[in-house]
Amino acid sequence: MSFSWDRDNRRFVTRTRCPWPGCGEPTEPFHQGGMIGWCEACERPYESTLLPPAQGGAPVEWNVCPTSVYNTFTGQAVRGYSPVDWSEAGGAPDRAGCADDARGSVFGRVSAKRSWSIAPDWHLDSIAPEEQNRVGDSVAALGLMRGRVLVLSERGRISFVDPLSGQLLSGRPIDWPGFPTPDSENPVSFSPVIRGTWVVVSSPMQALFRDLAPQLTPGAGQGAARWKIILPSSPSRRLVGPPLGLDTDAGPRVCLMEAEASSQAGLGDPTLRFFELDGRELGSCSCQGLVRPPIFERQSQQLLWLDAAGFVHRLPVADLDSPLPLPALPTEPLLPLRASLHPTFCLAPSQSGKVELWVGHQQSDGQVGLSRCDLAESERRGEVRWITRPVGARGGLLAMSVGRGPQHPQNIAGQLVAISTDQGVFSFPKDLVDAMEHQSARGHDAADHRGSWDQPVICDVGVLTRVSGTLHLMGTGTPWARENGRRVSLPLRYPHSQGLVLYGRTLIYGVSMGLGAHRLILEESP
Amino acid sequence: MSISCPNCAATASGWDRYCGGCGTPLARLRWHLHQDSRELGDDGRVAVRRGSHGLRLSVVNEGVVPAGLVLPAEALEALPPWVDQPRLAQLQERAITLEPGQEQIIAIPFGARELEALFVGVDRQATPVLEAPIYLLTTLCQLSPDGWSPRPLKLSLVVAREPWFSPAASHYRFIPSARLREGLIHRVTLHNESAEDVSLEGLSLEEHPGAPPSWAADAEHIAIEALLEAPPPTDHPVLRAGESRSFELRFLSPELQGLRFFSGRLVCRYTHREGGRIQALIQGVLGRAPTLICDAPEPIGHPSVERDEVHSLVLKNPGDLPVQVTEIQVLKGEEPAPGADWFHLEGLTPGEIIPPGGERTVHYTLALADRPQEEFDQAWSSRRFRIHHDGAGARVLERSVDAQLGVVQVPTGVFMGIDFGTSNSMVVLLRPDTRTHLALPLEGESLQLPSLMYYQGATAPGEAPFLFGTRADANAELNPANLVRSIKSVISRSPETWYHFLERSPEGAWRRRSYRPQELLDRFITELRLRAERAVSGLNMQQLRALRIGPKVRFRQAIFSHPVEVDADMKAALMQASHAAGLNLQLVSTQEFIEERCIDEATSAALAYVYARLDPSSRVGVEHPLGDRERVLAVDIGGGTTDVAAVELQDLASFWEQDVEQVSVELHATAGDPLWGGDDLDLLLAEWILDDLREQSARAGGEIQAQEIFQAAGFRSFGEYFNGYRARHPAREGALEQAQALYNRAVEVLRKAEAAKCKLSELERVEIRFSDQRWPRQDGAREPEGAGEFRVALSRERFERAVREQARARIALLERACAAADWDWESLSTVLFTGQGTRVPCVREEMLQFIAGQRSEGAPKLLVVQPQDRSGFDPKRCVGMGASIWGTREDGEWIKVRRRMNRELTHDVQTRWGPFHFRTIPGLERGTALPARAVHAFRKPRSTLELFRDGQLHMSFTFPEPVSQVELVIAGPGDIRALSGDLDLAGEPS
Repeated sequence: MSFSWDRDNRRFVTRTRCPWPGCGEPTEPFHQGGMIGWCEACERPYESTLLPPAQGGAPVEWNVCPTSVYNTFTGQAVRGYSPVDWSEAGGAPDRAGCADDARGSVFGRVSAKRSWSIAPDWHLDSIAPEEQNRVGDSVAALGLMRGRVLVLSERGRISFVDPLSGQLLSGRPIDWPGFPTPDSENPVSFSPVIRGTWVVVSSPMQALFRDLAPQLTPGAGQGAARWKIILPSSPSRRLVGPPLGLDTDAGPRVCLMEAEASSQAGLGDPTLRFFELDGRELGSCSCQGLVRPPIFERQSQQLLWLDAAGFVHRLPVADLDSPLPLPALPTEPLLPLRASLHPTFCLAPSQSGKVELWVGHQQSDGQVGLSRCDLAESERRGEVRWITRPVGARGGLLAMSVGRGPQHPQNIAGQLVAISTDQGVFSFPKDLVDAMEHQSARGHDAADHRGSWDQPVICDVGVLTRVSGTLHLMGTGTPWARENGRRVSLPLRYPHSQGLVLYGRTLIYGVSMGLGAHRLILEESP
Repeated sequence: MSISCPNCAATASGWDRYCGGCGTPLARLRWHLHQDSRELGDDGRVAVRRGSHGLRLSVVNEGVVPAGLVLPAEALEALPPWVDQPRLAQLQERAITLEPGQEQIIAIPFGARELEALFVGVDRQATPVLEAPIYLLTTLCQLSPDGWSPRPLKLSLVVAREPWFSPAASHYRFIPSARLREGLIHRVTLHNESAEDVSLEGLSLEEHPGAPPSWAADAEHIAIEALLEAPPPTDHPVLRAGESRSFELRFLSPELQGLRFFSGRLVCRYTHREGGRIQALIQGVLGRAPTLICDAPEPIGHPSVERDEVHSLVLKNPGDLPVQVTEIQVLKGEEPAPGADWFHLEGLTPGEIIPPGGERTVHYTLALADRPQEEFDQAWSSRRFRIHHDGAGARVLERSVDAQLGVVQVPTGVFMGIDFGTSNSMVVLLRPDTRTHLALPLEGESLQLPSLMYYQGATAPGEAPFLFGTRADANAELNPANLVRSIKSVISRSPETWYHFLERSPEGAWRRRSYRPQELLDRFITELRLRAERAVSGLNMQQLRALRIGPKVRFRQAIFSHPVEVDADMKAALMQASHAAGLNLQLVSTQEFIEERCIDEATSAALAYVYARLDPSSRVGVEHPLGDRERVLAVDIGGGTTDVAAVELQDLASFWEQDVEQVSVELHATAGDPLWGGDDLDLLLAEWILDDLREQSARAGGEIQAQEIFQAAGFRSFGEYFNGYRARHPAREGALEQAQALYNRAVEVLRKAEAAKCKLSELERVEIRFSDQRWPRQDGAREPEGAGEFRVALSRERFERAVREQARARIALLERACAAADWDWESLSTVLFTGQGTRVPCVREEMLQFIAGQRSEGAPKLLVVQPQDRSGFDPKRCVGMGASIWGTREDGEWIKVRRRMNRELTHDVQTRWGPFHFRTIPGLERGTALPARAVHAFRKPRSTLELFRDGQLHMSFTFPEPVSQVELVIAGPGDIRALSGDLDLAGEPS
């Protein structure tokens, strides 16, 4: 091994290589930062970082092993999010539910000769040793944190699991420190916010900000754990909805939503509270009429939310100490929306710079409608023009995912949209020109609830979703769309949201107090 | 290539430059002058001497991954002509890779002629470049304003041509005042590396305008003359070429307060051709050094520690800078002290900062209960604590704490039986070889400790947050919501229930503290053990001699009594509590613990009866001659449970006549109701009282919330009640305070109901009085003006009628026990009543009436042992006594105890067949002998199975994959497993 010196760009040069210890195989460079890489040799994902150039030189491209909590090129602690750590479902700023891999690193080129199947991978009976099991506790949400699956139980206990082997990395679940943990009446039910080594978990009665660096770093166990508990501002209020991570120019921030406990759908007199990663409160903002958990738009650094008439409200995040919303963008005709805590309002940016807002809602005839608008266009006009299409699906809307990125044939994920209702999960082409041509997944006949509690996962092989008794891969919009999807059996018991995350080609989901994983297998025909 | 980080052992790739686990550089480049003892200074300045031909730099990679070096072209461009650039350019822009451990020599050649010209015939009008900065770029990184760039290794070559001071600049980051008093000397060397002699005119000190460093921005200024002695006069004014001369400047020791900053220069004027002046900068900050001190002596002694003690220490930082605590160690010898130890240091955590002049009070607790067993035979125990800090000096404050905890005996041959009751608990000691038994006084003179706990909230360090027994009862009036009633019942009913307690925060707001029942049970059993040990220390010499123990003991073994019907959770909870109390630690499996160290309460009472029958001083059954076979039906109605045991005694008469050496006790059957006991009678009375109060208050126009209060009375803890209350009234403002008021009233009513129950055993009529103020009332109802009272009258007749009805419902237990034991009623010889519930006469009468009805007139006379029958049989201590006898069974001294139970299913095991229709699984009917097995086939493969008991969900299974049939195996109550292929699943209780 040797270094060479690039005299034009004033930097040392090595070939881009797989950063996983023990591999180090040469890889193709991306010339672009914040991308997911996929090592064909060891079949593991990695993160590609583009560091700012020095004095006009070329930026340095550096592949980082996703398990690192320090950048192995600069030695700086990681503070932001990792593209490999996708599936922050509730806490992702855009709530799109889409694996952001527009380059198709993980699943490769799109071809009619290539299709994908699902095969069982590993199974973990319980994240807690037997003596630590608590009656009634079960996995409630999953996230990916520095290449590990972060498992949250309803009682707020946290465990780490290796996503490739299913091995339990934390000996015993990490309990909430020194405070009553969420009880069965007020459980954790949304995914956490993860930034750097900090995790934010929210339950109705309290939220936990905790630095998990001692658990993520092998030699940092001696340090005292840093944490803070946040309570609702008064006994009659609750923390509602999923927490939201804000990647502001000044660094990561967290937004928690609070509302009156007694109100309809839990969204009476809502307030957004803003925090530093260490739990220090910055400010709060009342947002009367809010009907969906808010989202964050990175490019314009704005927090967005909707009211019951479909007006779009914007809050610049530059000064969260004293947040001041911009005038709302009105819409004509009005878009009547009923309050819902489910993340059915999302943002799907494309690489052409067009940022679309999507909202799912229940129409008066019981059908589900999807509405979208162009944010930049709306801001330019000073009003929002929602384009609404009924999608034919019935049942109460629970979750929605929208594909990100450009809609070119090689980007499958960018062409799909999926919704989950209590009747089933449905996937459509994103342009919704013929919404009836969709594929669906329904739970077992015996189950009361035939849809998915978890947000469907959109990736380059289609829509992945879990319903009672089965795990589905739906290929609407893909070259293999004629197939009626793939599915495998899972345990029937699926009483509430249990998390669904994709790590590389491994799909991980919660089962009771344990986890299961299936792997997407490439089937190439000659 | 896989590499371990030397700092944190995280695995790194060979291509990483920093560790992904801790950020440490994995490549470490160190350099020095090759074959030269001189190390490079921090500033990387090297003097280039006259006649030198070049420098040889040695660069070593001391890291674990390869590192790269390059001499960039721009580094050469700025070099002066006396560095031989053409030869150096051979290295230019060529990357050098250094493997771990590899050394690279880099030669920097000088032009001899150009260098010599700087020393000879100097033209001072010209401005030759005397300093040559040179640098190498490395593969490590640095963040510059422009972005990330390779980090340079910098070197500055300085031609030492003019006279110069070494060091040219001295920055004292911090000088502790103590060092000034010890005598601090500043040394400066003047070098004349010019070609000619110079004539020194003198040295002087001058002020130099400077600012303190940012970390000491508030430091006041102190004049340099006030701090440094004036330089000595020059004895030899001529400094020859090539000569060096050292000067010593002594620091003064002025009296100072706070941080001071000084900035001055040592100036030397000399004559050298046209004369000149050179100076050396001296700057710094001084003050008292930060450290941690403590007035406590070394060692700290605590003689005669009889009970837990809390002591405090005051740590002071006398310095002018803050000091941070970096680590706290408690050592036993040279090893870290165990986690649970008699010495606890509290009130200080690593990372805390003690400000300048600040104090911190820390506490340490001497907790006798946590003393490790290996120290029991030592009179004195010792611990050493070390508080590491980042201050000056040794950076550690350490003290030894020696405590005379006394020699403690672990008794052998003495068996401790614990009657852990719903209402009261007792501890009985038994020494079989001396036939000595003793109930220990647990609460003053009282042998019983009420099974009550009261949460008193945040207290002084080291003080327990809970009160127990009568103290808990006495304090319960302050805030009844913080009283724990019937903890045993709560565990047997719902081990997942949270106990919520209320306490006032310093700001005056109410806040909740929550505990699991298991935590409370741990504390209670530990308290029982501690009280028992304290009670032993109060025994008189005669008692101690009979027990053959000393006054200071530590119990390691105990036998617990438990209700007949206990589930797996309760057993595990009892074992965990036993372990938490330091008892029976050698038993790690629940099954073993239950078999070895537990006995049900009814059987326990029967064993005590055997003991009493054979005691010559006892009057139990004096009118009934001893037989060689006696069948005893023991009925124990405790606070929350009812137990029945069928026990057969053999060879009592032969033993009495000394024909045999052992009495044989066989347990034939047990039956129990885990959900009914004496407390339910209190609840019955409470309902009547509240009905009456509701009517009285309604008549007065302010109807109380009787229904809500009665509901609250049904809950064994405030937390359980509050959870339900909040679910029923999700939108209610101030729900916590309202629920608290309701629960407080409920406890008050229950307490008075219990007192009334006792009186009704003797009186025909009892009247209870309540104030009519501050009752939770219905919406819109008003509080009466002026204080009045409610009076409620309870009659014995009505009470007895209701109690008899409830007692009749429990007669089935007697039938079940007899049927399971395969006894006919004629063969029954003794009925033994124990427990607080049997103190209500009509309960006993109902049961005896039933038994009499089952026996013929010619049946042998039945011996009835019951409370207050003047036989001397103590129904209070009999359970604890029996438990201790159970512990002696393996000694085989005089009693031989065997279980010969017809264990069988006590209920049908059902599956749901329709919304309200259930079917019993064939082979799992009530009465089937245990262990029972049955195969259950599904109509189509399923992933779940739910089992029902009397129409209520009892147990559920979730299979990883759908199965078409399972084999169900029932080993005991609550122990149901499902087998299918390799699958072996334990059921989840509902």
